[in-house]
Amino acid sequence: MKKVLFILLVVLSLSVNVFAKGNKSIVLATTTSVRDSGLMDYLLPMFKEDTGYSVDMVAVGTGKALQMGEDGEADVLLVHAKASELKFMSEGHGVKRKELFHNYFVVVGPKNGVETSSVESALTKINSEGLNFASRGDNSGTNKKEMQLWGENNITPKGDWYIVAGSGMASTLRVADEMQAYTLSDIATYLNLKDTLDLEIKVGEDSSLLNQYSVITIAPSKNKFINEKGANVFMQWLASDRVEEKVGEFGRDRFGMSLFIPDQK
Amino acid sequence: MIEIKNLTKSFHGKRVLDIESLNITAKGITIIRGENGLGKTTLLNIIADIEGQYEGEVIKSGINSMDMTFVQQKPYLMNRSVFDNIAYPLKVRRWSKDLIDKRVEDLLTEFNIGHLAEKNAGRLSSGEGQKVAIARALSFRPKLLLLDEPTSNLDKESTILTEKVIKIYAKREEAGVVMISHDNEQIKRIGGRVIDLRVYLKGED
Amino acid sequence: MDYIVQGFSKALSLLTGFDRELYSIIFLSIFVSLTATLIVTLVFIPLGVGLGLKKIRGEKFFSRLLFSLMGVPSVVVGLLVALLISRRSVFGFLGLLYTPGAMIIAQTFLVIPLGMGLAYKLSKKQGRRIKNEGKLMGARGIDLLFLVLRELKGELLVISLTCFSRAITEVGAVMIVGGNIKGKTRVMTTTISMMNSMGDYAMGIALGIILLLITFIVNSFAYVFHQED
Repeated sequence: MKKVLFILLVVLSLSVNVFAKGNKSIVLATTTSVRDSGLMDYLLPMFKEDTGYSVDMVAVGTGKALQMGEDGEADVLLVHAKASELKFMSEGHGVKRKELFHNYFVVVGPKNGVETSSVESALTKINSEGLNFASRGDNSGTNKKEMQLWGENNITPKGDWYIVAGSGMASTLRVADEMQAYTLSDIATYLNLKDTLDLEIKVGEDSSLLNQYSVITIAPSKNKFINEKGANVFMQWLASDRVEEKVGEFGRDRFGMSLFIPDQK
Repeated sequence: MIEIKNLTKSFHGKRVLDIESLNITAKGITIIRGENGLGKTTLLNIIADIEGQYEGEVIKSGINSMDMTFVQQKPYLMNRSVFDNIAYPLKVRRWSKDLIDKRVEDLLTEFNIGHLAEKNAGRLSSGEGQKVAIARALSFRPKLLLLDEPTSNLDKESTILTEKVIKIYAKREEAGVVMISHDNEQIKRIGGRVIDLRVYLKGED
Repeated sequence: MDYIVQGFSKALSLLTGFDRELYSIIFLSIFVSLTATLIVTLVFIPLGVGLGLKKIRGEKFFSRLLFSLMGVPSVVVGLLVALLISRRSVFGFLGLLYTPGAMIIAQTFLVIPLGMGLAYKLSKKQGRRIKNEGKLMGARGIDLLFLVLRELKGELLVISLTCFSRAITEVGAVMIVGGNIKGKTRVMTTTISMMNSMGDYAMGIALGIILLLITFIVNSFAYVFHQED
């Protein structure tokens, strides 16, 4: 009996830590591709050291991240879906929005496939020749970009050649690899998997492939738990010159290029 | 005194007991006799309060539930040592450890099962188990002891021993013993009052 | 094919090298599921046993309810708990969302029907006889419950182990209420899932091996105890 009580006591005292949430803590909602890039694992420890704030980073789909902002479940967002973000701001859910860095989506495809220079010609060729194309089909930021690009070129992708893969950039890339198909990917995931894939970049820094990352602080009017102060600290820290430089350095040693290019002030 | 009035019991619509009036003295030994299927066990179950669904009255004057016990035909022995089994009724009555130890030792000796003290009760033969169950029942010196064919699994030697123990117990503690048996030799050896259940059942032809 | 082999060898080196992140994930998984199991074992299993010893109204309905709740998908439990503890909700003020505490709560709710239902069923089947004998020996009230619990110890342990298995292998509930936050609420199942979608097989395989080992060990214990009856 005594043993049981002792164990309970230990568990209870451990659980104090387990349940506690200080006010030097913020909830950051971001996307799975941001998480997968590893950028936040790189930055957050620095943030903690510099400001003393700990960040609960929840990585979800773009839609969910914005929803979390709307519901006041997060204090700050780091997303990359400009059109949706502007709508979000116009509806009054966020207080401040700041564009911080960007990179480019890439169109990748089989090594001895089409040679093109623009998104327009790539997509048109894929559609007209019925070349395999793998889509994420999950309403993620990448998926939305893909649909936007088809739309800009007045194409509605349909047919056996248009493969709707599972969610997740990595699994979609594997499907594309398997079927030797084209696909739209974020640069970080592609670079991470490059050595295991038989795919290469077809179209790189086309302006229509711009992937803009922004930070949005959530309106404190949502509920009394919004940590407005913490959100601002995060935004300011991320926008500071020193940190922006660090962001630019991320990935250089592994891939020989920046995964995230800081926006010019 | 145990007074039974207008007792009826049915199992799934079938009438298994129907007694208009039966009195059993709660002192000394009473043996209930009758062929299989008459309802002897059911009657004892009802007296022992482990069968609660019945019509009629069963009044046990001067005896409360903590003063009585019942050794069923297939008694449940706990998954612990023989010693702990016999000690259990004393433990729940909050006897002191010393008193418990003494009492259990005495019973082990009386029933000649000292060598089984540390053995797990689940591993006993049916005869050994029966002795342990009876010893356990006697541990707290019940005022009323109910037994359902207590020697059915015992060899001749153990049977005689057990009968002796029960007789001595009833006399020394001035307790009541109600026992089911259909061994006429046993009934002769034990003595006491004999109740032929058949006589008391209504509607038997 | 060789990325799978690569994955396995990297997994082995992570395991033998005591990679810190890996082991903190393993530890958290065990901590969360073990706590949930302990709560159910110390409170709800005895409750199930106690109820099984009584004659209650609507017994059949109660039984059926417990048994259907046993099969509730973990994601549903996670969703319900998340709805209750999110900031704008009733218990939002506790700030529980995205903490290990929330994960423990969710997993506890998940296995309560399992533990209580199986304990109830066992008690109804085997408990009554023990209770009767206990009464005849003079046990009353809580002594009776303890007697039954002690006599059924082996089978109850198996039920407890079953609850643990169910908890540690689920991914839906802990994902939703925990958020899979690195260093804080990441457990084996959520990490395996995430690693898969990231294409990183090594960590996923390492955790898969550990998870298999744990469930194998737990189920072996359950098997052994089961056989002893």
